[in-house]
Amino acid sequence: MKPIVELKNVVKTFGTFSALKGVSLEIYPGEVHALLGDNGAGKSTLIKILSGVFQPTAGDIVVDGSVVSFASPRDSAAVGIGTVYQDLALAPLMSVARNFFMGRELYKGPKWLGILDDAEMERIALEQMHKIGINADDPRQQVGTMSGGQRQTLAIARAIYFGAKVLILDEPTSALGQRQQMEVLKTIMRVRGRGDIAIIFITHNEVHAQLTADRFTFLALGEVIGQGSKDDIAGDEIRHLMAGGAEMADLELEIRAIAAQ
Amino acid sequence: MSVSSFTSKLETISLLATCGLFLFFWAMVGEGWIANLPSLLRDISWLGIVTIGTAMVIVSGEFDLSVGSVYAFVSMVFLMLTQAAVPPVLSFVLAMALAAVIGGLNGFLVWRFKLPSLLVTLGFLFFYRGMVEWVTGGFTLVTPEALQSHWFMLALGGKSFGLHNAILICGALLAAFTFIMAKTRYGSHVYAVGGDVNAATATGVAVGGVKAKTFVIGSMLAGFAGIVTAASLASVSTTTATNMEFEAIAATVIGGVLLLGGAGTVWGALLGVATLLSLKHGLILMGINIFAYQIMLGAVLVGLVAVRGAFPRLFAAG
Repeated sequence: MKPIVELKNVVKTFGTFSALKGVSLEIYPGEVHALLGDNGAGKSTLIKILSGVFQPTAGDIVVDGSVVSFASPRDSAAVGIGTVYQDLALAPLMSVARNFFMGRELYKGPKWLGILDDAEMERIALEQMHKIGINADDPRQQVGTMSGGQRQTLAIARAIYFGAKVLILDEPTSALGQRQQMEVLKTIMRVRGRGDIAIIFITHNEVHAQLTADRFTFLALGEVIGQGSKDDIAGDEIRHLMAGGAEMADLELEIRAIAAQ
Repeated sequence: MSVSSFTSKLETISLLATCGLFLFFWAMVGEGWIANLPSLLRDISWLGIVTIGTAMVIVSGEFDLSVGSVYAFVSMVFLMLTQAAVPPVLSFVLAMALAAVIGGLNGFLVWRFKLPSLLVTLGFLFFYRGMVEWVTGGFTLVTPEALQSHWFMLALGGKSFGLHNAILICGALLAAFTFIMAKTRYGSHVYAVGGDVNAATATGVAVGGVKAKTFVIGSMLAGFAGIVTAASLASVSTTTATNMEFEAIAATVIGGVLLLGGAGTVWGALLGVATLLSLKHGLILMGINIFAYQIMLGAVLVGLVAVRGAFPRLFAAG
């Protein structure tokens, strides 16, 4: 199987600070790739590079076998990379259907008149949400009245409908209660089940990663400290890597040593 | 619930208030109240045309405090052009173009330089009012006698079937802008930029363009209302439409538009106008000091905001 997106030795520096020190990773269609790491590990920088917000200082982004460069988020979206940010880009006071099509509305009659085809937008929005298993039945419901999990699902459904082949989910479970978290994990698995979409799942919850991911990449201080498929990495190792790997283990020893004095 | 039930609740409050005031003043004043209805409706229409724009600007997440001054300034320019023997229709087109430029400048400053619209338009409130006072020297401008029966002036300021044409004009504008806000891309984007500007930006809505357009519409409606009024009264004075922006904003809030933007309807705002002006006319007809109206207006507004703050659940979305 060929990767749909590859990062090759991507470096990103801000002045003298290196946020990413040569990161490589491969993303395959139909797979969930968990990107794990603590705060400051470089996860955000990495997704911003993939979504076209930042340009890498060095290294290549390869999409479908050819090297690409993104000048803006628009370029990234154009090759099929859809980013679902933590704030989801949803207007809480507006309806599900209006949010689904915000900025990409459907029209009745000539486009310059700008008359919205609400019936069609409502039909499609509902259909797309049902496809990935949200139990919504009113496309006119205000988004603000939906649960956090439903909102995540809406944002994901929207990204897929508008052509995302690679879905970047930025900490989709972090701001939710436990039941809602499971809701989102189910959505992720349903999208995975389609087989054609690659999912980059950014999280710092190892349980969530283990439940869903086919492949793992662990970042710490801008470097990959562990990478591999589900079979390659044992459960204990995940916990060790989550804790920051060897470097952090050393620090832990140092702290213990100070405490013992 | 299609739109927010928050606003539909407040629109209902405004509708009930208008009906209640109607019955109350009918009971208190009697025949005089009914006889006064045409002029009440006319006043509602004049302020209503302005308030449609004010409501749209507030829904977009901004404020326009300059509408009262723009109303006076644009109608002054219109009358001066007609006095200079410019044909009324051309005078109208030029005055409306001026209004569009004024709105465009508001929008440009707010959007391009990220300035708070409250302060920008406060500045223009003084600027255009000052222009009116300076140019007229404090005197009232009057339409040339010959023009007062011109078909165009009669169309804007005359009467049909015993009712002021302003009522029909306001009704048509209300229908048009209700449709635009509810059913068009532009309307949907006005709600989007006012409701969550980050979401709107992220999904590709042209935030600056939408806000600028809304300011242009707001100024043009204010200028238009000024011209309609001038055509009817055949005059403009320096005190014309003083404090009108605050009445428009008060009406908008009473009519259920969310002051922070993103929710509300223009027809709700118009109900707010009806509530306010029924109160004003009723108190005058009952022979109560006109200042009582201002006191009532203030009390109603603070009361409404306080009730909303004290019982957020009652008005919460959903």
